Amino acid sequence: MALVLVASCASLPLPTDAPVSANPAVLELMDSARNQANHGDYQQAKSHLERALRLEPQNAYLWFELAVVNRDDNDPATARSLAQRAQSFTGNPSLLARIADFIEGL
Amino acid sequence: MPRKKSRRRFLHFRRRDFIFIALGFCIPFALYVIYLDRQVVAQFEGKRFSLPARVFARPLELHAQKNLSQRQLLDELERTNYRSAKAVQESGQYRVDGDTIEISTRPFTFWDGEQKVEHIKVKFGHNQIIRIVDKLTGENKNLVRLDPMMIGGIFPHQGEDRELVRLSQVPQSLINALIATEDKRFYRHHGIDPKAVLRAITTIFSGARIQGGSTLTQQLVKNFFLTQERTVRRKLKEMVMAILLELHYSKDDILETYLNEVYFGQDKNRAIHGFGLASQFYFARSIEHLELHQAALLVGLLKGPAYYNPRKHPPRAQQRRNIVLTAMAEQHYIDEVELAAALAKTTDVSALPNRGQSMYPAFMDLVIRQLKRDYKEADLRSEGLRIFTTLDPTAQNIAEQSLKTRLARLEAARGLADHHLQGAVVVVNILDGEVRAIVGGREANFQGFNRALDASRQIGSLIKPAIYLTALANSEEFNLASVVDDSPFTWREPGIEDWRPQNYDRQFHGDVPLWLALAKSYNVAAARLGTELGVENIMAMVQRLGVEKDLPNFASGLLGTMHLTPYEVTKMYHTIASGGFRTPFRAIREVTTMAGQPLKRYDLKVSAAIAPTPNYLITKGLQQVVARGTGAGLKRYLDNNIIPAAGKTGTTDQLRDSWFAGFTGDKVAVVWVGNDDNQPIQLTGAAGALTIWGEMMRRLAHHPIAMPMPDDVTLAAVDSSTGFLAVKNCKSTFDLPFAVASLPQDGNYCSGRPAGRIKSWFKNLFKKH
Repeated sequence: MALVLVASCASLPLPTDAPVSANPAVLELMDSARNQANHGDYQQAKSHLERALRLEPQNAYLWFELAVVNRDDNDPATARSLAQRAQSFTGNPSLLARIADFIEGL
Repeated sequence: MPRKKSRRRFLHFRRRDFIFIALGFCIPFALYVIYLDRQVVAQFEGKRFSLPARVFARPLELHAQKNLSQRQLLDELERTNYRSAKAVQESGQYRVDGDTIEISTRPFTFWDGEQKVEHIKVKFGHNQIIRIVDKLTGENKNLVRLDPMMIGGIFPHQGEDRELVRLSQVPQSLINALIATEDKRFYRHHGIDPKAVLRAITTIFSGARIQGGSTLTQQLVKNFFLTQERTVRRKLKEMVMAILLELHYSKDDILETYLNEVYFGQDKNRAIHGFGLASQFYFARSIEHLELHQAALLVGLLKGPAYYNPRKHPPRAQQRRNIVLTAMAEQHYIDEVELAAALAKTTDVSALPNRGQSMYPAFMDLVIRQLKRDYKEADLRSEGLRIFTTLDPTAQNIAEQSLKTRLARLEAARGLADHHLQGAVVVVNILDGEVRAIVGGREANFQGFNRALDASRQIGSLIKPAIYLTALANSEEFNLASVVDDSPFTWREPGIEDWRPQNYDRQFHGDVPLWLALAKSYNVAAARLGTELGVENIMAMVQRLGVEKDLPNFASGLLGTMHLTPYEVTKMYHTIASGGFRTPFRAIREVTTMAGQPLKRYDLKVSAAIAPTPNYLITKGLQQVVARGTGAGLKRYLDNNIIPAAGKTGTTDQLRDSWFAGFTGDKVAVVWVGNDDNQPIQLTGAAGALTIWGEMMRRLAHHPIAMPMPDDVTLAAVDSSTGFLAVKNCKSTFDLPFAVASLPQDGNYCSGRPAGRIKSWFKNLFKKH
């Protein structure tokens, strides 16, 4: 539960109103990914996010986070496709709006 | 006087001659020694052992809620050489206790960091991990990654395989055994052993062949720099070089190099070199853990690895080992008690590791093809790279077994000759395009023709989803219940014979709904619709789905006369399975150096290829193939209510090829069955490939298909008897999805059943986002 709270309050692009996942393993991987991305280690961040996605393939937040890391790693084309993939997995209006803004800003 | 004079002259002559001779020999000899010295130093310094690339399967990640049975974890532990123990005391051991497995994991360096040793207890229930607890702290662990199974190596051209060891890793008992047997005075001589040289000289004069008398240094020189011929000249060269080597390098340097160099026998095309790999190969343990009798056996093997092969000739190997042990006792390296205990042991060798070049040659073939795009072959064969692949050994084994057993059964049932049938299987993860399994033929361990990657065959009806997808992309004109015409059809093109496609049942079915034409795989309806939509548009759609080769625009192509490999077909179906996103397939995740330094990572990439709505509709159409069409036979293997698969059968002219391509929520798989000489096989897609697909998927765990319904799609009822949109009688119906724009604008149709609505309303209520 603590981890859920920590993850949902963490910085970066995600809304603070919903837990990203109920699986602590996913949260642990996502946490590492954020740390790595904050230190500019995008390859490691991608690796951790892909591991998290293998646990939860339809988690729109994870897809979106991977899109953000790809944008920060100067790959806007991949970022766009991954963001579109994130869109396809969510009906959450606030997340959809964020993703739309993100794509717009690429 | 004259005599004396002449004698003096003679003496004078001899002295001068001697000087000449001496100069004549010594200067060249000195030059020769200098030359050899340069050679020895240059080669020894420059000599790096060629180390094969090591290839690993995907690591198993353990976490609570993971769908993994206790049996599956035990299989994985066995595959990765974990040892069952009564009490788990050291890394690499495990113990089963009821519904719990206690494991002490082995440390491993992954691309993204170190996995430390974890001493954990994994509790199972209902084929799931319930929780993972740290044995020492008692706290829950979120995630533990096991060290992955090694699935093969990419070897130097001579097939040399070795695992380098440092002298500090090598047990003293092994070094003692080596010195006691091969070179008693190793620490005292300067490269050659004078006593042994004398012995060798007497053998020269006695006319016997030159043998024995080599120090470890000489043996190393011989293996490193010289040929195996046995001549006096070569022997002298060896001695000089040995002395030179000792002048430049310490005993420890020489010993360490020797330990890594020596040859221990052959494993198919692979040559086992060095004590490090030999301990793994003969005793399935690392060199640090060798016991005395094991060390002695390895030392004994050096005399003749084939002759003393402990797996083929245990008595010989044991006898030779005992000679080594006795020599150790005579030279006081061990006492009588130790000697007696070691002599009492059996040869104690492990089962032959099923490793060799690779257990999975077809998958390895794909890995090497992908690696060659980024690496020079020489580097792959010599730099000791570590390749982390996507192979799932569980899925691979199941795919291999399913193909093998089903083909044999099909041959028996159809009265076909033994081995008339061949087949191939490809399994890919939907999420990220990771290749999970590749089977290139029914003898999966045999490195032969890789049918999964290289057998280009007609694909028959597997092309049909591309036709209907092209139609559904135009939602103004088409929906799943649109009328398509399956009455007689003739295609005329100048210069080509008229084309009159037939259905498999030789009947025409008149007006049929689109979904049913797909589900029943009606050829005439597909051909007519395809020509109406434009052959070039259909071929463009096949390419959009991921097929990269050029496809001819012949109308007959609409019935799948183009040749594709199972791997290419998998790409097509993968794009549909992944919501219309094309994903490059990957067999490799990462590459590191031998020391674990990250070199390269193959990122997940996707690109939108098919709009969500038509992709959703064709997926539901492919689910109808399984629910009500030619794929209905799958129900014998998968419960359509639990794992509602989507897929398509494919059959070619005169029953030459039998295909099934399809997916669940997380895996796409393609099976091809045919004959290598393209002879008829008497099997439709449903009778052949489908049964293998079903057998395999039944044994794998799946997520259900959960493609989110796009916003512009709604459910509406179709008449159960006709399959057309239900308009008046809304009772005997079932639901299909429709793009809202494709439904009658006057609202004159039966909407989807309320039950479905309530269900999805509840689902929405509990949805996380």
